[in-house]
Amino acid sequence: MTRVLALLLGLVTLVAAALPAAAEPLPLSRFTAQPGPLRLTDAEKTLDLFVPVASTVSVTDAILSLDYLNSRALLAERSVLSVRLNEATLAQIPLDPAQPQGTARVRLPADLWRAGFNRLTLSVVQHYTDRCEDPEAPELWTEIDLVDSTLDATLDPQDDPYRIADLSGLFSPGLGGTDAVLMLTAPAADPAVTERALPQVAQALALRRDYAPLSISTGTAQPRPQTAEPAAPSPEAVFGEQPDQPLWRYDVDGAAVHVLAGTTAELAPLLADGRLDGIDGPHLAVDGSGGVARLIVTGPTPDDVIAAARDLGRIQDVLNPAADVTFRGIEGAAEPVAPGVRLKPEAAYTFSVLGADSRTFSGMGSHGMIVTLPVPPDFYTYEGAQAELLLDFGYGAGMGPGSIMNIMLNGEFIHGVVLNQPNGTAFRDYRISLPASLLQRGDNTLEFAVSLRPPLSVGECASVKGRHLMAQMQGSSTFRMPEGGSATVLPDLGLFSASGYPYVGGGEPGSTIYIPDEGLRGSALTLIGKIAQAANVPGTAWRVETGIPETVPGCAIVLAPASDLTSEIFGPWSVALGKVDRWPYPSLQALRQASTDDARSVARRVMDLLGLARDAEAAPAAAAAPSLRQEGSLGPLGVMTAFANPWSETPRPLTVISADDAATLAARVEDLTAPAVWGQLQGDLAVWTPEEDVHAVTVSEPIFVAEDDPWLLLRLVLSNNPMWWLGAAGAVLVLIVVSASVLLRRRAKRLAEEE
Amino acid sequence: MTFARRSLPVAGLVLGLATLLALAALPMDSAAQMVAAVVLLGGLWIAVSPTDDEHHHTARLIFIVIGVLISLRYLFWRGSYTLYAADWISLISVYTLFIAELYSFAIHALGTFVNVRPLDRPDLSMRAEPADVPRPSVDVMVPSYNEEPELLEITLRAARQMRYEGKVTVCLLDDGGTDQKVNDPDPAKAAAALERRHELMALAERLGCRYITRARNEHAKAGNLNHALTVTDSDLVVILDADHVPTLDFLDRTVPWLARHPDVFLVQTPHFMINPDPIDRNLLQSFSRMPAENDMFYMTIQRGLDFWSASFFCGSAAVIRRKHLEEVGGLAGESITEDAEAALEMHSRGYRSVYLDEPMVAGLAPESFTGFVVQRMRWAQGMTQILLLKRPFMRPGLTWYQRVGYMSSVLFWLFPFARIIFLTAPLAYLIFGLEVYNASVMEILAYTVPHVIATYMVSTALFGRTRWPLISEVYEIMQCLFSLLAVLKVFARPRAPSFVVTPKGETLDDTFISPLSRPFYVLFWLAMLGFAGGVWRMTEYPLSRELTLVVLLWNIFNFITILAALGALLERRQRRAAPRMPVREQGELLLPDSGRMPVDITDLSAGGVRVRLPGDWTAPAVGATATLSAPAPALGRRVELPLVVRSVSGRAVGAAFDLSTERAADDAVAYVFGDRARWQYFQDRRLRKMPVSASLKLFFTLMGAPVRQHVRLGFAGALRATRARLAIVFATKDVAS
Repeated sequence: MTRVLALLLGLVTLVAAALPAAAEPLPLSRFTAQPGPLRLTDAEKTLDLFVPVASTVSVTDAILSLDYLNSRALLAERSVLSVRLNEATLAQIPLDPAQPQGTARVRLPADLWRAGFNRLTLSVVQHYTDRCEDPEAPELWTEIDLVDSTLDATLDPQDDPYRIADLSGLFSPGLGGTDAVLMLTAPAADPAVTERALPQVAQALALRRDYAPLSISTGTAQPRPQTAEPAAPSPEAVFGEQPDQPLWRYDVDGAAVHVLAGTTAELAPLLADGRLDGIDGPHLAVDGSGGVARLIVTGPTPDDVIAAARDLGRIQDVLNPAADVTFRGIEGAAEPVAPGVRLKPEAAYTFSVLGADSRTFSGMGSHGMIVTLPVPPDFYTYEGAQAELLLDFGYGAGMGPGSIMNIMLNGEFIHGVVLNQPNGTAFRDYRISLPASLLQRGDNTLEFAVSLRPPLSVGECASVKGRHLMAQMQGSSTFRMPEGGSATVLPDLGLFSASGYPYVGGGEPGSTIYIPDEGLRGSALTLIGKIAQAANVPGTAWRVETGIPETVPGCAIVLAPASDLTSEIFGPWSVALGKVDRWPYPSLQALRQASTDDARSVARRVMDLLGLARDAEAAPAAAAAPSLRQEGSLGPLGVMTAFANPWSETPRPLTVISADDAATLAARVEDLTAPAVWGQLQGDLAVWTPEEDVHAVTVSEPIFVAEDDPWLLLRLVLSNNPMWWLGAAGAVLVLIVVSASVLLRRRAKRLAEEE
Repeated sequence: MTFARRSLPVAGLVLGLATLLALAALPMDSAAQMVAAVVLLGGLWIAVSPTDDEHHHTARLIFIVIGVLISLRYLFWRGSYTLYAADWISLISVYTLFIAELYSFAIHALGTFVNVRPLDRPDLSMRAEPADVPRPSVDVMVPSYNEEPELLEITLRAARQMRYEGKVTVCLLDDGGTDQKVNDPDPAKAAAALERRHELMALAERLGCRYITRARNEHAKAGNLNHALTVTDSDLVVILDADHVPTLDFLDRTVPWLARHPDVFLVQTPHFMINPDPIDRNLLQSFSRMPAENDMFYMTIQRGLDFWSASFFCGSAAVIRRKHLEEVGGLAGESITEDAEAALEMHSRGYRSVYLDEPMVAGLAPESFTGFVVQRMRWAQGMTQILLLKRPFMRPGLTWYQRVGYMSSVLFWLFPFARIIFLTAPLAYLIFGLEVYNASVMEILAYTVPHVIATYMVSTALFGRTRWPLISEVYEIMQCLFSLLAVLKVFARPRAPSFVVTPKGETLDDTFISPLSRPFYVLFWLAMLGFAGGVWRMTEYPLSRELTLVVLLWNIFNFITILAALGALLERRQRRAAPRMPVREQGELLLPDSGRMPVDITDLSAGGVRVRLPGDWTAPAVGATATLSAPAPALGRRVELPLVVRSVSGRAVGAAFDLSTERAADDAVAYVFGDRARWQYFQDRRLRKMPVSASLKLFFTLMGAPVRQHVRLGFAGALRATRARLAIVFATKDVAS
């Protein structure tokens, strides 16, 4: 009896751990990028929220709680807020002016939910009069509080054994996906596995979560002695289909999903007999069910394990319905790069290639289309460079006044087209030039805002519904990148957070995270996963090494509590962390407010370059700037700082992430990978608190990096150091003036002699 | 060691210039470029400040190098990053504008090179030359075609009175009374030519000059002079245009250079104009306050050319060695600027020229805009002919710096191409939307504005004393439309142009709009249309709003110059043929009844004088006779000139010279025109720099009047035309009835 009770208790614990999304209601704001409350105006308005659901769970029940407030001018009998799930109308909530505020609970039936994205539609039809109504009257509004409105879903994990195809579901950013994973290696595992394979696994799994954080912890899988009857509830006892062939024989510390990595020889003692037989190459295996899963990354040799981990980041899950797969190598390029990850200078891309297929906008109202332009993080060009849009678009007949298409890049208006041809028209290669300066490094948003309006009709209360209105943007439209190349100024934590640069995509043969001991390996892997998400591509040669070396080569990150840091790491830089901290005065003052180059005005930049900037917020402090040494504690703060690596032969940044102690540091890394902190990284020194307040500032001397383009590098260096150019100009001026003076004096003398 | 000492500066200069080019090409972002430009402009400003006296040679070099560096950076940037377009028409426009900019920079660079160290020649005098230095004989040749005898008499009298210890023969070369003219098929023309011949023969005989004419009018002025060379035999030849009156010491100061140096073929002196040109007279009205239009050439550029042994003959006011002239076959050549062409030929043979920057010949500028245009079209055509037919850039015998000097002088005359492009480029954008200039405002601030400022500062430092800001623009715009056509004709048929005599000494009875105004009206309305297009673009194309603003500013600048041009096209009434020169001298008025009255002489002309009486003297009556007694330093004595009072206005008395005796006529000419110091004083008084703000202010004050007067005169003209039509209609009805 006691054993049965313990068994049930263990089951509940495991399921609870596997389904965090079901633990508490989720605010609707999580499913939209729109800040603040949702305001539904006009006579008709619709908002679609897309709720992702992991393919490895099914929704058994869901309750939508809507907090709304409507205009007091509405007609109760004709105003209604509808809720639809995947096009099925589930509720019609009357909008009563007598009771303008309310909360509605709507049950979203399980049978309407499906794996992947589910469309949750909130739609209002509202009127303030029965005749001759202005459909855009200001009285027509209903507001929904997206923070207080929640979705409370009950999820049921799938019972079928997991396969590789289920990895996307297990690590889905939607409902039912896990946001934490435990990575285990065998006792006395080969260092190559822990140092090089686990980072690849971390990236592969993090990329499956898109931009949602993945918390990674590590450990050593200690084999448990085999007993006929387990003394405590264990997974194999719960889920094992064959009691004599348990799924795993080691402690997973309550983790619902874990990874087991190692060579076949290392893992054999941990797995059922014969489980790894016949594996002769890089191998992946997935097992488990019911929300508890294991991913095995293995191979006969450590290199095979690394290859398996790397291939985990390359495979398409949907094409692998089996539980096991062994990789036999890559044909073609040794390291294929995902197509379209970053746009190349002077290359042209159709919208279809950029992920925006042809789109038809129908009916009266506002429509939109967004094309994401992923500009390389180190893209650099001259100011006058031009990008080019060649649009293939058209619109149908019968457009009325107010029918327009506005085009915006990163929220900045760049072009407008009035849709005013009575019979409609179509354009091919409609050319728009964009200054390259409008492009940001990283993802850019090209937005087409289309407003379709019917023609005016004459007569009392006459109206045209506008259902005939139609416009199209073709996927064959093209965006051409301006000419340019790869060059940038480092360190730049903003660039790092947006793209992972320079640790990914910077042309580095390999990047390394140094940690003082194994306790921080999970944090390092969490960070690597986040960097891969920022870059949207895995770094191919990450290493996580224990022990902080006396000299840190190349492009590296040091992740260590302050007590493990020495001042030598920081070289001559004005910031140092350790037993005694060193802070530059300007940065101490500047911590009050973030400051970056982008935020600075042109005048400010000119003043900076002239060395005339006075306030510390804008002017980078010199490397040898006066600094304040202080002995104390960082308290709960996390600190991230990047500077020129004093030991690197080529100009490369060294990033140090630290906190007061290891536990605090691990917690701060978790905070760091959260969007609220990660998105605020800027400058070269960032400090954040457990409350996710971020202070970022630029305090170090810049270093200049350009890949294979000395001309661009020269431009970059001179652009940041015009005084060097002026010095050379001064020297040339002296040379010319002295030489010419001598020659002119000679000629004048000769002329005088002739007289 | 000597070789090393000689070569080191050359090597340093070559290395420095090569590095300068490399520095100019190095890329920088706009913010950094702006920093560099600000610092360079600061250095330029410091270097420019002490250069007013032209003798800070090092400072001149510094600002020239800095200016060139700023401009080169601009051109490298323009050439590297801005020359693209979406369509062919725009691309052609883009490149056309860039070529115009390259041309302008080339002219600017050539100008700075030429004027890097203007040469000041020392004062020499034949009287100070040792007795054993030979005094070469001189023929003073005054070619004439259609000038009035009164005008010629002044020149001949002055030439006859020139002080010189050697033999001087003054020759009147009459091309208006040639056998060809006298035997013209048109009896009226033939009679007029014969009458002119007799009249001028009598004049020459009366003045003791030699009258020379010829059978046929071949090769215009050059042919006339060449014919005279065949019938005269002096060592030196002085050439004076009919209206060019020499000072008494002209030969004394010019001949020593030829007497001392047998390899000198030319001594050229400035053409000092005693009347304003039509643009000055019609628009600026600053003759006595502002440097004349040709001062920049004669007071700065020719001195610069002289440093490089490339000063050239300007057709008059010069002494030429006959031997050298005959060696090159005289003045006749392939171009209609035979003067510059002959100088080029003689320079090519290794002979030297000397330029003396002393006003020793007083002449007349064209009175009307038409005359002005005729003169400038001839210069433009002639210089273009030299470029195409003589090719100074590859002329054997010239040194490299002489080639540069000649190219600077010749290429300048292609300015109509660039000027018209600069006028129309903003319109191409504002009206037609052609993107002729692809740059952000930041780039314009970082590259274009410093280039414009640097060019302006360098130009002002080099030429500011002799040319005020914006004046060049007005003069060039006034000429460019007509000169462009003239130059294009030369490109089409290089040997086709023929010499056209510049009309001088015209009188204008009424104020009227020049018949050449029409193209400027078109430009005016195009500029207005440009403004409308600019406003439309500002509202319709927000992405290019900043660029539109910049182009609008450019159009405003063009508009101001067009307005100024319209002002200059209002030909003001000019009834007095003999121009008055303002002076500040003392004299005495001898009145038959009142004794000797001390007076201030306020202006002088060939025909008379204006004096201001002291307060306690009674003004003489109109028609009264008097005698002006005044010191004449050039003559070394006082002159006593009989007068007839013509006008009295308060204390001001205007009187005409009574030139009934030869002595009086000689003294009047010698007194009025013979004193070099008076011209020098007048010229020096006008030489000063004008800040651009003051120049702009001057232009703004002049802007309103042209429009009003054009409207008024245009309306009056239309009214007159309507009246005339109505009169015809009524007259026709009367006849019919």
